[in-house]
Amino acid sequence: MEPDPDTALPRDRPSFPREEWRLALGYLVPAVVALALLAAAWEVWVRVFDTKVYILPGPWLVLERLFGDIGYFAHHGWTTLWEAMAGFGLGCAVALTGATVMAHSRMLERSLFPMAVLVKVIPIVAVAPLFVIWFGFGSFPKVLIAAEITFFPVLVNGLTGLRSVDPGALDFFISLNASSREIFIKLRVPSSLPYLFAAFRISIPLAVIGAVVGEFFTGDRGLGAVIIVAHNNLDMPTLFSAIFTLAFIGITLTMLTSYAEKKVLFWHDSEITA
Amino acid sequence: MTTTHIAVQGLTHTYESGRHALTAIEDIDLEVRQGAFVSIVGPSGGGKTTLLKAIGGLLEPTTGAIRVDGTSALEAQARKAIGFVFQNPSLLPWLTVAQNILLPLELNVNGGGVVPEAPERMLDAVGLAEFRDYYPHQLSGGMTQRVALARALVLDPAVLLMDEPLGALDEITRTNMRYELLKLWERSRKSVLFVTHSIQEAIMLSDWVVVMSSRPGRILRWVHIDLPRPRDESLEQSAAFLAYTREIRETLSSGVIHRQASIEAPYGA
Repeated sequence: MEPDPDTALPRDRPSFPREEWRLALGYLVPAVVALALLAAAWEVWVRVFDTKVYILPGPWLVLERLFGDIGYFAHHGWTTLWEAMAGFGLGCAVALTGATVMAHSRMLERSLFPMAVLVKVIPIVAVAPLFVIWFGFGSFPKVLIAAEITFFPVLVNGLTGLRSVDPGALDFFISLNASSREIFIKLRVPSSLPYLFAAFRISIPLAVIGAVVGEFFTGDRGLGAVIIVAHNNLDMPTLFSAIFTLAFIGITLTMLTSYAEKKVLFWHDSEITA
Repeated sequence: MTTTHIAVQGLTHTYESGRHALTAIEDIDLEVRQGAFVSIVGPSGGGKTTLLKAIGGLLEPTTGAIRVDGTSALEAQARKAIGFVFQNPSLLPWLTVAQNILLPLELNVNGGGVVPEAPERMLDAVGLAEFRDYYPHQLSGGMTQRVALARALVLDPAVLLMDEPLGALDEITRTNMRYELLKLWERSRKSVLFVTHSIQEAIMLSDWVVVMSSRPGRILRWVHIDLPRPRDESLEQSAAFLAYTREIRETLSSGVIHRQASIEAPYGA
């Protein structure tokens, strides 16, 4: 058989590194320009109306505070990031175990899923003080809060993903008498990855929120603690610096997630048509 | 002496869903001898897929007996003696062409008794050697279906079940693939049961065409296609080809069970 040249053309885009850089800059430049314009407008507003520093400091003052003591913010930022990621990992581990178990048995799903819903519907800020009382002032309660907030989206999408298998591919596996273990590892798990990445994109920023909320209640370290202390002192430049640091952490994590998604899901429609 | 590779007797399948019951196929007797290419034509919704799934062990029929390569369908499945090609190629999108073709070797490794065809030869046979490292989304519809075909053939199965494998392709690709499939089969001479909507496709490929009625699916007639092999496009305009086409079309539209619809008839006649 001869491959017909008309239909045999690969549909992937050329991947010259130079092209990719041009493409990345094409996305980056407009975003940076828009951000700079917003900061400029903010600075002008603060100067023209002579806003009090304890109400709203200008971005320049905030950046001065931030970079004047970058080690301080990096230290607390690192703590928050570490707690958030440990919580995310723990939440994923529990959620994926749960999804695997539930995907195998409708009965277990019916008994366990309502409990997962219960965990989800209780507002995280309501249980955060409780965790602090139970588990003290260390990192553990914050990790736990981040884990709890991460858990539900990963569980739901993991479960949906494990069940969302191409019926034709499933028939093919069965026609070869593949074991359920083979079907799970070679078919269900890869099929669930697009759903899992959708969950990660939601859960990773949530994990940071969870860690910050936990730090609100203990006030010894992390950006949440920095914010509470700055708030009590009406030290707005420090408070805003902590917010900027959180924004930086959030953007970095989002970009890393997108990058990993592109690498892992290169075969999925969402990446092919992107 | 020729052996029977697929034997079906008194097969009936009824889908139950709540209070509704739908009989998809009724009292099917069917036989595919070693090296024979048998096509099933019939209207859609006529239970052709149900029949194929039952033979492939993907579905347990309500009543009836099935033997595939001398054993039950499930045993044949466990031996990996059945090659399946579906209308939708259903390749795994995260595996390359070569990995997809090798997948049957990795699954059910204890299936045993199977000498794998060399994957390189398989890729050559379907003309995809230079595309071995491509992913399915980089291939055209015709090419993905060729990969699915290679994947079904890699274990050198005793029987090949094909459920409208060319049905999702455009007319031009479909016609080309028909002749590629023909060439491939004429080399390997597998026992094939092939489901299709297309009367022309059935005649061009087959030794026997089984004409089925719509719901519930029954066999109306066996038509022996006595055309010389190897076959090519020129046959399409021959008087014999057109006569077969007319015969099958008339059987389909009349919906009357032909007196030679029994299992002995085709081979005894």
